[in-house]
Amino acid sequence: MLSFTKTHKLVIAALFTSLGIVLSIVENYFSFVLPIPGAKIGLANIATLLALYFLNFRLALVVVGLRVLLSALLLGTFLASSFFISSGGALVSLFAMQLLKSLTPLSILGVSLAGAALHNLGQLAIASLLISSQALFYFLPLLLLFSLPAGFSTGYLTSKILYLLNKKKDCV
Amino acid sequence: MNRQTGFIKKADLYVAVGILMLAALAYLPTFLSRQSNYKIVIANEQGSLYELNSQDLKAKGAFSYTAFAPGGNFVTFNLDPSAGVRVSSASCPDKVCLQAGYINKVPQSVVCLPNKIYAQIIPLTNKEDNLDAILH
Repeated sequence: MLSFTKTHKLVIAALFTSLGIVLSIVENYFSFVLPIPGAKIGLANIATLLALYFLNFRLALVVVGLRVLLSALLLGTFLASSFFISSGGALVSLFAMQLLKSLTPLSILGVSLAGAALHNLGQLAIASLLISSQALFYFLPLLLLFSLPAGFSTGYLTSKILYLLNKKKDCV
Repeated sequence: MNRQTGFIKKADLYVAVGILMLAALAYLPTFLSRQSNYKIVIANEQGSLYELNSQDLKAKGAFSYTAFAPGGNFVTFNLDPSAGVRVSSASCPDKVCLQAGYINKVPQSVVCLPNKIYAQIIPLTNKEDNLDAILH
């Protein structure tokens, strides 16, 4: 079985970051589908979950930070309101998922479901601060409902990718 | 059971049920809202820009109101006595606010996040409600 060196881990973190950026950009083109500000499938969360489960929390934090920063630069939204909303949601979700992963018996699906819901809550909180109003909380029920299929699909996909990655790792 | 297999555990179901319950709880104010009279507030992050109650809207008829944001950006709202308020055009890149359609129930809102401008339906205060009942 292969044990990862620091270089291995950095390369894998870079790959997960690239995956997250590509998924963020792809997802950005489908954001018009739902008339809810900030509602996305959260495909980029796959990269976060992969980093959290395959690497560690520290590298997952690096993956999330770089993913949010680089995709904002590529999409031309750096320091725009969507950048802060996206950062807030991603960080809240990452910290919550790390806590749930280490403190509860939840599987990756449960962690992903909770992460998706908390991602939306974090985004709403930051967006509400930006417009200094609670008007956005009207969307909370819809966003929470939407986080169920979103969290389930990202959790399921991540578990399948992790299974393949671990199989490959064991073979080396 | 391996944490990474992805099979649903009982605890995962509790999370899903918890999210559903939270969503239902958050929807309660909209579900219970039965007010026929309301106030439309158009605002930005600094506060209210324009306010109009539904009675005045009926008297005034349909019209458009444009709220401006820094950098020549704008959001135009359509106010219609029979439908409520919606965003008809906006200078934002994503146009998510245009998809929201008309809102006409407390506490609905339509938000243009890039321009930080929103319209919200709020209940009339007792004073405002009483004023509507005064005959001239």
